[in-house]
Amino acid sequence: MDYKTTIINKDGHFGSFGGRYVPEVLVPIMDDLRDAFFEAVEDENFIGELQKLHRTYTGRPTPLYHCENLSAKLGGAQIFMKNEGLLHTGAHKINHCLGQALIAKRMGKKRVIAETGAGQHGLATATVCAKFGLDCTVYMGAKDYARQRPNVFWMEQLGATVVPVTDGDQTLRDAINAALRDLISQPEETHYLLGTVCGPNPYPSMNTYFQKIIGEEVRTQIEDQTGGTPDYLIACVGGGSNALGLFYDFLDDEHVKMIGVEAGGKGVDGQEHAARFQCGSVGVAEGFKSYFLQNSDGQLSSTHSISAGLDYAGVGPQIAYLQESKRVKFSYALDREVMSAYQLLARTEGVFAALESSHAVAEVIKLAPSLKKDQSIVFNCSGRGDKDLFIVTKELEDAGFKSFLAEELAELEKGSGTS
Amino acid sequence: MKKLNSQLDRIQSSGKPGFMMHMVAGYPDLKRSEKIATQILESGAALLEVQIPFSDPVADGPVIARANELALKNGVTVEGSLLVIERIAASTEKPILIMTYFNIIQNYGVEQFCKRAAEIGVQGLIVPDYPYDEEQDNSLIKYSHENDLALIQVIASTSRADRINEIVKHASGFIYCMARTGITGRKTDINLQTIKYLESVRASSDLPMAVGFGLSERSQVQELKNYAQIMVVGSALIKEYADIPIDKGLQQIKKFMIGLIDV
Repeated sequence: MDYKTTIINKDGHFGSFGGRYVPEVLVPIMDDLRDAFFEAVEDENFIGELQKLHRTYTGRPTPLYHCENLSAKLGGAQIFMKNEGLLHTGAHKINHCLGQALIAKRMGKKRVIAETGAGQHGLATATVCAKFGLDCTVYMGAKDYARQRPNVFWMEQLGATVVPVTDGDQTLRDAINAALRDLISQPEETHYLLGTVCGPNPYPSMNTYFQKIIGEEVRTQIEDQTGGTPDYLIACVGGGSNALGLFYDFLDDEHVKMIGVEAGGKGVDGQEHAARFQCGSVGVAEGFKSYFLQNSDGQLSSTHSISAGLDYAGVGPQIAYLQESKRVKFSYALDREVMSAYQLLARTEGVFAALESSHAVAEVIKLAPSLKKDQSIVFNCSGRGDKDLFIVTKELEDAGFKSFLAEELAELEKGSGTS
Repeated sequence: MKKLNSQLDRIQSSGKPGFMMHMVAGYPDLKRSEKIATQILESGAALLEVQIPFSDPVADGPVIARANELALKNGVTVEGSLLVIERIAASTEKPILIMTYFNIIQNYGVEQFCKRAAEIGVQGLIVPDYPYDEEQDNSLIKYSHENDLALIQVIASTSRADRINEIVKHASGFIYCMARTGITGRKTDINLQTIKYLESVRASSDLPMAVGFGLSERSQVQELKNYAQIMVVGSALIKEYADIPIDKGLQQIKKFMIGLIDV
């Protein structure tokens, strides 16, 4: 089976998924972007610049680390962590942000817009825009804008304009819609730097292309360390960018099994989760056909996850295709399982995984004991966990952090401002 | 499509532009939206475009997006919208078109939706996020055709010549030209570029042309009437009755339309 050629293709359909379901005004904009992208990746200079910046700016290659303590503790397979959290800005998002910024520059665009949920993609976008001197506007649901103040602050420090979106649920979906509306109103001068493998063609193919370096590095690294290929690959799935990044290079290695982990939130029987393959159905929104959490009329549902990066009603079209063709298996992790996984990884290996990536860790914990000691699992630690400080301290009801915040606030209100 | 075609013929032969007014089913609620439809039709609209609300209306500007959101918050369903549209269509000789996003249609079932729309007297569909090149897996053009519905094709000012030539091949009823790049509801300045664009569409098809997106004033209509037969007005009309009591809203609709239409 030739999955790799199906998953990155110029036409943008993956089986019946994907496509380019956009208002006519965006059709030429998407077509131009598609052409520019497929031309660029044939250009040695473009690839050379991308590789150079990965070495000197983002920090590639990232390590593949053998989690010996965790492996011993779970008593089964050998567990390896691909540590994308060590990248500049702390997550794999910089991979496609850098790639797309180079495309935008190549197309002569002066202005970049992006959507963001928790702010990680917005931060990575603001970062590359600062580096390339591009004007940057980031749309963020008003709720996320309020609860992710640290990232809003960092984006502003990088020179970006962050716009709170007050429509709808005021979360990621509304931010995507607002970004699309911005693009519709100023299509010629703007590049929309979409932050996952969702959206209309060419975004799924383009972002997969820029993320596939994760799996390519893993192939060499695991060969060096074990002399073979991994038995299992595990990644969390929000839109699907880090999962496709890890999986892509191994898609045609039939013996390599793959598991995507969705956000089970507070349980998939209720409404508070983002498990599209457990409870969703086929739909068309935000420019593409895929699985969405929606009601019987086709109205998209509100979602929940402890990790903002997985809190989205849709999933990338290639991911839906790989699910339908059974190449990738899907499971989910509940918020509470994610918190224990987060703590276990910290205590056994000294690594704070992002809450998104901790979904993958939760699956590793379930799977590893059932495997043999000579089998291997590679999971993607797609981001580092220090960004989740406020969520984690709240979940763990950390009294010290609460009084720290109270003291900081008192200090600020006194007007000293120099804490 | 009979009602639609005869209305288009009437507009063509009158030498005056016809107005297609847009409204959202279930905004502010189902009962009042029916009254609003009646008022719009009585105030001189030639065609009525009724939107079935959707949770993610990307092609709509803030005014219409908010109307979608409020309608859904009030519990408006696709079935409820269709029942209102059915009553509106039964009450008038003027053509009624459904505007909605493709997800609503695909969840209903494309074939079933087209059948139902035809059964309730709807003359055509406007689906802003369904470019003709997605037809293969979806068959919306096919089932619209089979059910004698016009699937209105949209052309944008950014559309290129070869694309325009392809789009018009799939067109029926009339061609919908977006007068500007941009989302609905922001005022459009009509300049030489707009005129050139409309002329290029004119040269590619014999179908009547509608022009919309950003129309709110009589002066704009004056400038455009030599280039298009149908003027589409959406956000500007909703602004007239948003957030005010219904009786006052209906008066406002009448006043606004008299001001706009009497060219």
